[in-house]
Amino acid sequence: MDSLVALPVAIPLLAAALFSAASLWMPRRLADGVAFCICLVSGVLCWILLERSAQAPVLQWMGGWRPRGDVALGIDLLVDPASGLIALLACGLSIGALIFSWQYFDSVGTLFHSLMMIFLSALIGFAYSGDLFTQLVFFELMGVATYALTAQKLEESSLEGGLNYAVVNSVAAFSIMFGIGLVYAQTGALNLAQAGRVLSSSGSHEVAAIAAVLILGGYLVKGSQFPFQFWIADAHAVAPTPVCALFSGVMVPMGIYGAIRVYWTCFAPAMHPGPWEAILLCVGIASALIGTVECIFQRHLKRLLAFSTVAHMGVAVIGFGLMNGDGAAGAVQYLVGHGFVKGCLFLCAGVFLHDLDGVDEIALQGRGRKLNALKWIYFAAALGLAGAPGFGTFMGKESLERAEPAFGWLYMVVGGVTAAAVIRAGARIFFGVGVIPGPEQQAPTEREQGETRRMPQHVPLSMTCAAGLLLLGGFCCDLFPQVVGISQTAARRLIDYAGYWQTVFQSQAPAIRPQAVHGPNLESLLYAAGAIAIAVGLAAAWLKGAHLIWSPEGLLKRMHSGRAGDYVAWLAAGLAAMAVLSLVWVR
Amino acid sequence: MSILPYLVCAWLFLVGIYGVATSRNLIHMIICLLVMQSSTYVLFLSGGYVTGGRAPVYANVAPGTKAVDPVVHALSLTDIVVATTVTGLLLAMTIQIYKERRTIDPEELRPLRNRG
Repeated sequence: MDSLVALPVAIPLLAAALFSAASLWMPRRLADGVAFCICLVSGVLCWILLERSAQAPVLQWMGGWRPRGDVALGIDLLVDPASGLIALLACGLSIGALIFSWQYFDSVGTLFHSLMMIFLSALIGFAYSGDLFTQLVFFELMGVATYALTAQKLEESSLEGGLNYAVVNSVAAFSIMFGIGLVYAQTGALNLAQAGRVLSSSGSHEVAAIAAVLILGGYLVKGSQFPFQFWIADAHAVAPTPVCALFSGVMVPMGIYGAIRVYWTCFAPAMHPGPWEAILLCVGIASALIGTVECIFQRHLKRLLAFSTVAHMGVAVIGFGLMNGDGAAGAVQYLVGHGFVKGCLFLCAGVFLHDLDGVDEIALQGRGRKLNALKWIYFAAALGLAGAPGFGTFMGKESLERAEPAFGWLYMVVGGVTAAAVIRAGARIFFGVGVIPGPEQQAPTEREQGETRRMPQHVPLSMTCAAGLLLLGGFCCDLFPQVVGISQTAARRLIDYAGYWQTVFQSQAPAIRPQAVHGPNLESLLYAAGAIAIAVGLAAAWLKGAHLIWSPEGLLKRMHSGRAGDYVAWLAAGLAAMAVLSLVWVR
Repeated sequence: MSILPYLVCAWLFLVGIYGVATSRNLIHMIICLLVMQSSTYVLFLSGGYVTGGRAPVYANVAPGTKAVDPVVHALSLTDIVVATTVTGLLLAMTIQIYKERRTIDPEELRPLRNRG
């Protein structure tokens, strides 16, 4: 069982090498088929590992280098329920994206398949890794694969968007690297559990604080939190749609997961939770509000969805910042539930691009009338975004409200308003209502050439099926009590750093009594109803021509200047602010 | 004397970030990324340095002779490989941008401004 852990990471990498080697003679359909099978195999392996990890985390030491006493000699891959869930999300979204690209791309070389396989491998490797440096290497691998995927179209805007994204994420990676260097200098350890144990007993508090800022800040850049969220809209707008579904669905949540994992295993044993509680709550609330506001003023559907990702990731970060079991459970459930729903919405945007030759909601007014099956999927996914009961997002919000009831209104507003923007766009495109454009008319847009050349007569079944499949994934999260149970276990193991150390160094995990699974309580149902009401009501108001009292477009446009240098300046300022707060608290 | 390497890496990191933030040329921006990367190499190597230690190669010397920490050398080499890959990709993108737009000034290249 142990040796299965490396397989979901290794198999896609080998497949990527195969695709590169065979690129001259491999026909497109064969490449599609092989890629799909590889993702399916990885998915099955991740599923098996997740099932096993529910009883006890599955640990594999690479090369058989077992630890000696307290010292880790090798690198470990650890599947515990949290990493298992996120890896399964990655596999599920990859399967959906590959089914979608079956008909979506007119012609695409095996480079695409190769890069998608590397991307999948890096995502799973990042989720499973138990060592700081291994995490960083997979982070960089994820980055490199996606820089190439983003710029693949070789059009002006793709290249510029890809370059901005690459520069900002590279700065984040160097910041993480610097933090790892500081941790290693203090502890002589790269293994997460060992570093946590050594930092807690010795070492300078100030250096640990700076290292935490650099590493966690770097992962929050990937997780597109304020003030690091500027890269996400440019990257999403220009990347090919199946890739965008993976970005927002699993890559950005992977950044949040990385921050959670490193904090709880490496820094929580060593430092008082105070500064990070404050930083994470501020960052989460700011991202949730800013993402929501920016989302409203977009007309380019992919940018709209990208900003809504910022907002929803903000909600997950709030859950992380609450520093308790329910908060962590909420964060994990929310990441997974949101991932599927967001992936589905991006695939719907891809259908618009493929069949209607655009993703601008105003330009596409009324042109989606014949897309019958897609309407249901789209609006159901919009409700999932709002947190309707039955979706993983509802389950996540429930846990978050249990953790800290005071923020219930914030989750309701974020879900409701982002869903309202999505419903507004959908109503315009599918039903042709809302002739008067609101302030979103001023938003940046691109006369996007469809990623295909011909104008098809009907929506290929594979594309609708892929979108439907992902929607089903989001739905399933809440329906099966095993999922709720496993996410509770995941959260408990995530925050239990002593147990983590024991699992890694003594190969025995503390037993976790399964918790009773509660049904939905009245308060959560009321909040969910409120979110849906906001979503539908606000969308209707906007379509009738209502304007917000104050619209910050000028400010938003200046902030999103499109220059990588500005984004890096924000990044530096954000890291500096976090560092000041951490150091002040250490005193 | 022992604090000098750490000051050097802090300086390189800050100068690199400043360069990226204020750059007017994409190639200059990418080189500034490499400068930031160098700061992490200096940090790793200083963290692993042992005063009086020799290179961690035990071909002709007795085991147990004092040597610097080899792990940080391995980390630096891995980072160099990663940096090479990323830099190569970024430079390739820069060449493609130049082919399309005949400029590599970030001021003049702004994705997704109202070209609808």
